[in-house]
Amino acid sequence: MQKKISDKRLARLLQGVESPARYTGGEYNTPIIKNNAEVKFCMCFPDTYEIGQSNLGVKILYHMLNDMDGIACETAYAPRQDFADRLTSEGIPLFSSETRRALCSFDMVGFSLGYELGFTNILYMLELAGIPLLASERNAKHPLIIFGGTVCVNPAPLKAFADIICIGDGEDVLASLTELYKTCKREQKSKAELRDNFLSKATLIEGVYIPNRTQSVNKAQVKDLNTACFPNAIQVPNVQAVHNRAVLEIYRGCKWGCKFCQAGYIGRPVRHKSVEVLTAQAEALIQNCGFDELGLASLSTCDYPHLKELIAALVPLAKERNIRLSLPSTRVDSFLAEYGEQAGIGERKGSITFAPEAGTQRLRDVIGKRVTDEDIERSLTAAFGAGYTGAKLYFMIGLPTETEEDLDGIVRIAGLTKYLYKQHKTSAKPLTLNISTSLFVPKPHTPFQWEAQDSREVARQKQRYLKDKLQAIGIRYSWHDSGQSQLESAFARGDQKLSEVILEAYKRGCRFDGWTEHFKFDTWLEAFEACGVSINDYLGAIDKDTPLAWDCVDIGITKEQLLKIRNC
Amino acid sequence: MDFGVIARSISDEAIPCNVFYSWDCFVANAPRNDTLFGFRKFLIAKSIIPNYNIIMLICKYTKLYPAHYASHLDTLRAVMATIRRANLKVEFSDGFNPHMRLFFSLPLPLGVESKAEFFAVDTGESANEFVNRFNAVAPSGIKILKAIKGNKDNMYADIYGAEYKITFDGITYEQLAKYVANVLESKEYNITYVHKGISKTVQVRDKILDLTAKNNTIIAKLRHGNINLSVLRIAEDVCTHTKKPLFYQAVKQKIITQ
Ligand code: SF4
Repeated sequence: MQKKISDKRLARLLQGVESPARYTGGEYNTPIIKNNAEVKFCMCFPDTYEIGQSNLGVKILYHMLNDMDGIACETAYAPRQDFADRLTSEGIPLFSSETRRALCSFDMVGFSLGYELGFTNILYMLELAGIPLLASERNAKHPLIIFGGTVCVNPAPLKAFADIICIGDGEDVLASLTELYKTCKREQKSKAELRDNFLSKATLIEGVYIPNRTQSVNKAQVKDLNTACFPNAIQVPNVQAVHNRAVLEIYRGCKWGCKFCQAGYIGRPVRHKSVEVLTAQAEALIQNCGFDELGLASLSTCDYPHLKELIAALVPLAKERNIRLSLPSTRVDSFLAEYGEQAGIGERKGSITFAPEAGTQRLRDVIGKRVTDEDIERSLTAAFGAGYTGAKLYFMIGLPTETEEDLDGIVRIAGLTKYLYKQHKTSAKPLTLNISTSLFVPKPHTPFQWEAQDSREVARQKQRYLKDKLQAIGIRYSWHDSGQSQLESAFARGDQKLSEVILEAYKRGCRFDGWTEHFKFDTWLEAFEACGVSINDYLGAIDKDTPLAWDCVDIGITKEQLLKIRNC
Repeated sequence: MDFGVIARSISDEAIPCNVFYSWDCFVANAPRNDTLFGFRKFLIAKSIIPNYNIIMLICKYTKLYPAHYASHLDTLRAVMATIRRANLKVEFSDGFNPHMRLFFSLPLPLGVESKAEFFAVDTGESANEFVNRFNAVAPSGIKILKAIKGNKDNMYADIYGAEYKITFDGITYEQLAKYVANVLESKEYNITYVHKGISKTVQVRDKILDLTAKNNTIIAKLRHGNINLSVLRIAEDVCTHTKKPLFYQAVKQKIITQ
């Protein structure tokens, strides 16, 4: 089997392909890939290069593995159809960006999964790589297929495809897995022996779930973010990525605990990085990458307790290097007004983004969203007074106990925003207001994991209702496709039977399901039907005594605790 | 006097001039490798054009593998990122969204390599300092070959054409020679190509300065600048005429000045 692609062969492959720089590798700051590494790992992202290159988690793990002795990590992204067709017609298996090594010749191939709609793309990449899709069809000659990322907190729908599923923070798990593989490789003679020995020992690593071997698993967790690995230099994408900037992760977890929010619960406890560590990391990233923007990443940046000090430390740095500091525009008060001006944010006042999630105080109390009507009013008043000329407000529809009154609440907030702009605007520009809704998705390990999701018909009715009412007062309204949300729900709370559905949908041509233009809901429904499964079985309310597909995963909060929070 | 000598002799003195030294100062083996030509022009311009004090550093750089797979905009971003990494002091525009005062020559077709691309940057750094620090942190394929202070408006003024080397796979010398002879003998020559799904036919003979077949390559001298013929048109046309699958590699070798 051909393992590496020559320069000339690559040139031939790329001729006429759209955005060929996605596939060439050679990004600035690409580490030297160890030629004789004992463990060869390929980090895959099941979406396009532009999205994958914006994923901070992937970058952290990629650079961490390459810093380890005896480990070489490369990357691969889901190719667009034109390049995939070229690979297939030339009989070339999908290869890594860095050394153009075929994925099937790596020891381990890992996939970072951030959302459920990326599942078919895993199969798409595996098939392009010539690796059997089902774990049961693979043997010791094939690489180990590893999944990680937030969606893995319910491993059931992925079980049929995975050799290993990592639950929780990736750093320690991947470091331990690769180290263990290295040790096993030194000890073993045959490949089959190596695989078996490795998998049985890997079950002991915290956060590792091995289908058919693991009974229960605790999520892995980085204890101290200050000492956790974080690269001094990250790859600079060859083509404009979705987020083309240096990003600092300022903390993990979230102190609020909104009852629908999976990220908030699985990210617990809250772990902050210190201002000193962040400043040093910012300096290194700015120096080594050359981005013109520095962003702060976390679940709710305004809640970082040392935000003032951090911005005070970053502003001079950004000024000196002519770099934009992008701060969250969710809290515009005196603090951001003061520092925002300094950071250059004040010069580019665009839109304030705000997620009240529900239209009335009652419903916000039910879902545990601690935002009051006064908060919304205060933030908008401050923003418009400070020169912002736009607002993006995000809501969820279909939340438990929602009534028409709550939908009217969304319209009321939209009207209030218009009114406040008129009262406090400092510019002659008309207000750009966008109201956006998504459909509530009940997620595992949250207090709302037992709740039902609105049917497509009900969701459509609500969207129409809002559209009519908002249009009547001249406000732009956009909504998230309810078919995608249904699929998200089904996979979030799905069981093993869904592996078959994923495979069937893939065979029927579903991929890039997160892209509205590629999403084929009807094909998905046909796939469900062909497998004798109804999607509705996964969307209804679940009795609290029913065993859940994700009961085997312990994220640190018990079912009883979640029930208690749900009822309070 | 070669280009390097001129660059060194003027770059640190920051002489305000409105005319950039003729392109042939930059391009080795260009038809008019006469540096005096550039000096003469500079002197004339200085005396007759009042707004002569905007000088920039004009850099000739390569866009070789793998950088040639990046679009023009991505290349621009890559150059800016390199300037930031090198911590070179450059001027920024005024306004709400300041950006580097950086000007690029015409976009190169995607997939074509080049040994003669240009950008002008507003910087107080000396040419040597700029080049050394830039090249130390440049992404693979991008490298400044030479830099000289001058006026960016003249970056395009003297460009007349460009010379490309197109290497074909699976096409014999005889086939290429026949193609070349056919084109050069014609008074008019039409090329048909597909652009955004629409088939177009254009007469290009006056934009072809010269074609030479050599082994499996064609050296093509084509109009470049305001009047332009993409090297891809010729490469694709060769493949169409020889009925060979489309595979070629094109490299822009140098700029041809007026
Ligand atoms: S929705 Fe936002 S504030 Fe609420 S728990 Fe999740 S991250 Fe925190």
